[in-house]
Amino acid sequence: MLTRERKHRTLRIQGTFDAIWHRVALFVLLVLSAAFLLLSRSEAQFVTDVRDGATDFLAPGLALASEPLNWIESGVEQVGALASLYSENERLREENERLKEWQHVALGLEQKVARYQALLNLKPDPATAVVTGRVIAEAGGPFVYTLIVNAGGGDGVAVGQAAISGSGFVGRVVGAGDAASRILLIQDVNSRIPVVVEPSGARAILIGDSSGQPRLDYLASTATVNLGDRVVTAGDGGLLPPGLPVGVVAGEAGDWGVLPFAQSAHVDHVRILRYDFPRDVETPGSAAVATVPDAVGESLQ
Amino acid sequence: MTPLFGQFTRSLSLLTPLLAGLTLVIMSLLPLDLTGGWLIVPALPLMAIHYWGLVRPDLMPPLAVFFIGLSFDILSGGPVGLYAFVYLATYAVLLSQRRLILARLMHQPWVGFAITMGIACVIGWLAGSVVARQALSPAPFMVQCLVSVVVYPLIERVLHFLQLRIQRELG
Repeated sequence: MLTRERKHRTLRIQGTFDAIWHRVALFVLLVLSAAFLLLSRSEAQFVTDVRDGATDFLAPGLALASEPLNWIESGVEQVGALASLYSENERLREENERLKEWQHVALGLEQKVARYQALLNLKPDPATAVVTGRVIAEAGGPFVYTLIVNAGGGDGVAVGQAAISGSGFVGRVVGAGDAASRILLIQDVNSRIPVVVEPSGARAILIGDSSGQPRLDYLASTATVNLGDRVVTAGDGGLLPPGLPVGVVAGEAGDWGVLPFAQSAHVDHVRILRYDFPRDVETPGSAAVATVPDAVGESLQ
Repeated sequence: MTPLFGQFTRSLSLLTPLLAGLTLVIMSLLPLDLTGGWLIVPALPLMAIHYWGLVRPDLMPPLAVFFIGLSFDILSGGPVGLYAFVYLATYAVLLSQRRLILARLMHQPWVGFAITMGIACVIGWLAGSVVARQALSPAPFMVQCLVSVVVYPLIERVLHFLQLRIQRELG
């Protein structure tokens, strides 16, 4: 009788102790998480290394696991496409006719531009090498929009490089391990991309806001922007090549956004541009000329 | 069954909730478009936290929740500590209401998860907005909430199956 009571008491004490320990642990871990959050603002190298290492470690498994999902997705797409085969064929036929007309215009313009470039002795843009990677993972959450592709430092991928899909600019590389790299999409809240609105040439910064439509910020008050205007990368800062198609202007005046050409959820493969920005810009007083991509190589005499 | 093998299966059973959570972290990174272009995946790890937090909180302690959140932060590329914080805070609320949920919503697990998901979305939106230093658009949070609630019954079946196996093993 006495032993049973003692046993009960011991269990009760144990239970109370467990509950207190549970709460203390919860509180300490909450504080630790908040501390991590504060530290993560400083983008410590240690965090980047851990991320790249973890991504590299998981890349083969993710690549293997994503393969059947790609088959399922493409299978579903193909079944869907079968249903609209006739109308799709008609649409493509019409589009092909229009594109043929544009091809003639483009060829004419290409020759004209080549003539002008020869007249001006314009220095051509440096050739950009391309690495194609398959999307093996994507983090889609309200806080973060990133892709992991199976191409990394071993393939020449480096932090800062641009990633494009068949439709347009997707984002930039923010982490590169040996076998895999991470791309920060333009929809992510941490994404900041210098862009130009065509045809007005207005410059702005494209800021991700976790919606599917990043917003145009730092636009000059005098800038002329219209709904449907094309937005391309500006190339400012030298990290991204200029002129990559990003999307079209959407929204309304005062709160312009951009509807991206590349819908991230439908991106299976991305091309990473190994753009090498020429950095030998002359200091004032020296004789040579800046070698930025669009700079004129020799001044007109 | 040898004592060594028995010990191994027992340890595996004790670790199953954590392993299930980590598996769901990896699953949520796989590229599968479920939302028609929104690129928002259901909060799969939260499903494990909710389920085990209600059924066997002793097997899903705060440290396991922290580890699941931190793994997701590191692998997803988001701010380190954000998901760990959101999951822990949601877990704390869940534990405080555990008895109530078990008593009232025992036979409607779907509703219980919808409540947890709603709480996680509010905490996530607040924490995310503070970290980003701007009011984030609430739309992606709502989409994730909706997608997660729809997917939950499927994952719950798997977790329930695991729980029965654990119960058989641990007695």
